[in-house]
Amino acid sequence: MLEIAASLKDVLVGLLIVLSLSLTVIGALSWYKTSSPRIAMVTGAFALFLLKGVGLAVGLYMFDLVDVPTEFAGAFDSMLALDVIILLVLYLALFRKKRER
Amino acid sequence: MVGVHVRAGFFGAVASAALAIIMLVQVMAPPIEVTAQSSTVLELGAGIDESLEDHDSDGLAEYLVISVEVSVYVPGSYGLHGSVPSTSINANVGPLPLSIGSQELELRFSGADISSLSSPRQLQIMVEAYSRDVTIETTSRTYTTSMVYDPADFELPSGALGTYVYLKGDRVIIEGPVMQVTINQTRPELTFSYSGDAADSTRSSITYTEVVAFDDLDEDGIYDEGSDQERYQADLNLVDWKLETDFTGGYDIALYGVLQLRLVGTATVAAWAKMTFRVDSDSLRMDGTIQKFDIDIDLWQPLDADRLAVRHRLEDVSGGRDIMVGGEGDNMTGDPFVLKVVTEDGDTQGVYSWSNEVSVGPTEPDQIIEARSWFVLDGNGASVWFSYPLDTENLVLHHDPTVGMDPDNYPEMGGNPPFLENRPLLMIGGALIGTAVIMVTVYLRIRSKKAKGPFNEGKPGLKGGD
Repeated sequence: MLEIAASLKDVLVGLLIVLSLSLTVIGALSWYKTSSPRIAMVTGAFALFLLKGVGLAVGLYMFDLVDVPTEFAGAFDSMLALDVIILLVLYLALFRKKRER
Repeated sequence: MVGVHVRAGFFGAVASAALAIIMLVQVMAPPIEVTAQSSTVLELGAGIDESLEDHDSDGLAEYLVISVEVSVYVPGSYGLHGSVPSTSINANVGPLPLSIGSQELELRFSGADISSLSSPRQLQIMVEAYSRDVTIETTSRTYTTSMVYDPADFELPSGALGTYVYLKGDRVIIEGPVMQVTINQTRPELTFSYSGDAADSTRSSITYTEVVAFDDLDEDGIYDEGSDQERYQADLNLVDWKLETDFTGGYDIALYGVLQLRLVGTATVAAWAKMTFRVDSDSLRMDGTIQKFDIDIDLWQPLDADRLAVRHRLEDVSGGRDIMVGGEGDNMTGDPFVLKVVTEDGDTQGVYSWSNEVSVGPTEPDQIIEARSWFVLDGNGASVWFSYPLDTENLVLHHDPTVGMDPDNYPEMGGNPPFLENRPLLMIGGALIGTAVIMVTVYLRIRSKKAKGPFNEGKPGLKGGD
């Protein structure tokens, strides 16, 4: 079980980084075109997700600053998975067709 | 008819009463069973003597000693095994060489076992007498102690220090609270490790391989194959080794064999010697971390050589550890020469140590002389030599090295690791999966726009009015 939790953690960190990066880039491009403050705020939120992902990756894999206690493994993976699902839903929402009224 | 019935009833009552009396006698009779299959060989006496041993005079007995009279009709090697049925209480004595006649053998029941009883009681002890000759059948007899024994009056024998001895394969295993020592029954090999689950991962071995008698031409006490002259040699792997055990008052395990010292370069046996390796509980330190063992060499003839050297090898059996020379801080045994078994982290787990002081004598080793020792480290092991001066008078030699395990470096066993493992390759894999998802969605989006033609619904993105 700990092996699965450890593997899931690593995969989710990768997904978190890629999804948050994509959304940040898309948001940045949109803000560039529209100069909308609302889009800037949303892009900022995605950037914070990206910061979280990159920070985790650096702490876990590069400088050995972060270790996930085995007792906390389940909760940690659940929170990471929730972050990834949130970003995935937001990402897929961008491709949702606008309904004709 | 009434008279007949009364008579029948009367006799019936008498018969019933008689039957009841017979049954009552049988129930009340002491349950002594004697099953001597071969009465002409050995007999167990009718009664036993009971006594208690309290070595540390604290009012708690370490042993219940049961003395059993044994009448021997055919001399041989016999032993006794005593047990209290339905309990773990048992004791052994022998096998011992017994001559014709009566003698008393003592079964020493450990206070630790008796203290595990639930309530005070008389003990029913089944004693079995067995012979080393497997064709002679076992004789057994059951005794009941005259005294009532209270488990609260017994304690663990300090001499045994919580160790227990058992046989596994070709090894005798002495399992203590900290250290495990094993003795190979077929060759002079001793292993030492932590006890319990850590035994297999922390095992080191000392294997005695060769005895050489040589002329010390450079007079340095060291056997130099180039400069000294080898005179006689015995390969310890070719010796027929035998094991003797005695568990009265702890354990005393001796591996002995007769060496044939051959003239070098020939098959001629020039001399014989008896070599004995002995491990006993009296040489175990109180905390169970250090065990001295004895090497005794009894030359049956004087050897025409200057010195006798014993070659052996210390090795890390479990792997992953190094053999290093011990320093001041590693001297847990008090001996001047120390080799230590060290983990990758630099923790000393095992030590093998010795002094160059040995005892010699004509028949008993009662004089102290100085031996020489040297060793060569080679990766996960060390070749070690002990060299003893020879003369025509002192034919008996005694040396007692020591093995030990440092209790502070007992490895953590079992349980979960404290943290999850971090694998960056899996993180990259997750990133690739995410990239694939994005590329697929972008591709589908582009394909959908192309299918719809030039009038599309706009690019994916955030709109200010959404």
